[in-house]
Amino acid sequence: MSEAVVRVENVTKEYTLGRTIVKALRGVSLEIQRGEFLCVAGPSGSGKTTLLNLIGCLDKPTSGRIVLEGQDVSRLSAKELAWVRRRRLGFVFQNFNLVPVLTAYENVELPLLLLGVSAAERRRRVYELLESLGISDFAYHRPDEMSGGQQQRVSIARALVTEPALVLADEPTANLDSETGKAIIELMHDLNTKRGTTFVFSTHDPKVMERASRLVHIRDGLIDHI
Amino acid sequence: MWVFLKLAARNLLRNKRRSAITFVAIGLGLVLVLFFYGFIQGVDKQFTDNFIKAQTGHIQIHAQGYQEKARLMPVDIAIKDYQSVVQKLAELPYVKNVFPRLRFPVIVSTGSESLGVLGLGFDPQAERDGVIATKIAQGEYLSGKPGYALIGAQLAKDLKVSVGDLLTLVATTPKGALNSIDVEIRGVFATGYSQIDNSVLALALPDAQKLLRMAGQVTEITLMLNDADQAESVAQAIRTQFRNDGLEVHTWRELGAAIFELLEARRQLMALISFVVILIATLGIVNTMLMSVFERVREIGTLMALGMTPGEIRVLFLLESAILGAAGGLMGVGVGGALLKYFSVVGITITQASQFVNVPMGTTFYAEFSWGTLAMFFVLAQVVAVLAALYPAYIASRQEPVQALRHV
Repeated sequence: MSEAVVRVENVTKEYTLGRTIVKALRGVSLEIQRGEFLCVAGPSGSGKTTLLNLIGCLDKPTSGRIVLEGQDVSRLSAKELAWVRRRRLGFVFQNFNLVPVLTAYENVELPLLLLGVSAAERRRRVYELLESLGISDFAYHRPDEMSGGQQQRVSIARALVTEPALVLADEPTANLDSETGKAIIELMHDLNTKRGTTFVFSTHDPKVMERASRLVHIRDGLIDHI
Repeated sequence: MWVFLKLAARNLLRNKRRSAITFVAIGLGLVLVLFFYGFIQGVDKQFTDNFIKAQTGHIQIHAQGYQEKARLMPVDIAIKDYQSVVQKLAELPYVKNVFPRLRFPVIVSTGSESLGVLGLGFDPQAERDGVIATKIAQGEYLSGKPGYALIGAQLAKDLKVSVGDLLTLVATTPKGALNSIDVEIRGVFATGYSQIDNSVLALALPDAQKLLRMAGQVTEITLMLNDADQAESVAQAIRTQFRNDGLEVHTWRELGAAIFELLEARRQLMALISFVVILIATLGIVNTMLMSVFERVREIGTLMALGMTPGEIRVLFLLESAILGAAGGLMGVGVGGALLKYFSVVGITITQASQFVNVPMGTTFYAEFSWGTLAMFFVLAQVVAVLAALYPAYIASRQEPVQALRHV
């Protein structure tokens, strides 16, 4: 039986930009099943980042509902949303966004520290991931001592270490050369098949879209076709 | 909590120069405030002690109505049968010394020169550790033999007399008659207090009583206590015990009210200056922390995405400031404490100070060193550091994750 990890129900999102109101999303509904490798595609300004932010509990919809693992998260407080992200979500960013003062190991360990996981368990999980992502040699390097591809691997490890229900990746390959970008997508795909981790990522690169198990096209704040 | 501490400490090390500047600002501000505080404390204490020793004693007892006319030194408002009063006072708790005194205006004549000065009849034996006894510059202190006097150094100069010279003293008795005796100068005292050295002629109580024809009478009984803070309670006890004897009792606080109000005003001025120094240091920290927040907006966004709550973000920045406060505080208290300790032993000598200020003051000032003061200022540095970080930390915690992540 396939169970929806996320249900997006008729969601709109409006921003005020100066004096104009921008309608970033104009009524989007979407269901994401466990184990999907879902790509949200569309030109820049189409609303794909907004959609990912809403699913990622980084922002709240103007109207409509977002249900994450059966819980309506559309009206939670900032603190409650923080806890939802901590427990159930992982993020991979376009700019990697590693904490610059922490080593690769410490960056991956950080979400576990926030969850209060024991020291032995943290060590086991962090090394296991660094190993399987092929970056254990860089465990004690700081982000500025690593290449973009290596940094993105660390950030994927950080996103996966808590075994979240869903990993959100907004344009994870945009700041990488095409070779490295391809390797990163392959790696994510690998993790998706081997671990069953649900991924939602956005891109406007057709080569990246090819790898998705499902492709959602978004345009002008509406889902164009699935 | 450990992870927050680690993050805070690492973030401080990220911009070493900025952290160092803030650290030094806190430290130096603290040194300054701490040093001035300790120094003023020391000077005030010394000033008060000297004032009490040289001027007022802890408690003064007069016949009713004397204090109001004290400037005129009225010999007709006197304590009768003083010896029995002295005896009773000596038995009271906290009383260390009882000094019967007779103050009177007197004309000193050398034959060629005549000058009106302040006469002081006192008990040389009882006051052998007093300001005059310990500051004999020439000759000797009074031995108890009649017919001798001690004279202030400046006064001796003005009269062109020295040890061994004869003086004729002329004074008005309580009944208004003129009387005179001759005394020989046995010693010259230089107390360092211009008021005393310029104008005081001291002689043994029996001689003074003989001159004024006031056998068995004094105008003042001064008490020294073991503890200055007990003055009020002892004074109260005396008022009760002697309520039918026509005496008035004043403590050092009442007697020196004008001076102590001056000290208090100066303390308040110091507090104000300290406050401004602290305020400037605080604004420095606020500025540094705000810069630090605005530089790290995207990082704040990342930490929020990882699930840090706004409260935890706040703690992160407060901790950074607290660590700076602790480090700067340790430095400030260390350096300031060492300075205070040094100057509490060595002191700072200001020559001629007593010439300009017509109140009893020594010329070497000692800072007051106390662990309590150090602890107080260390805690102050902490409190200031954390208070200064409240606003920047609030700004950090109010970031919207989406906007923060998009920040370049």
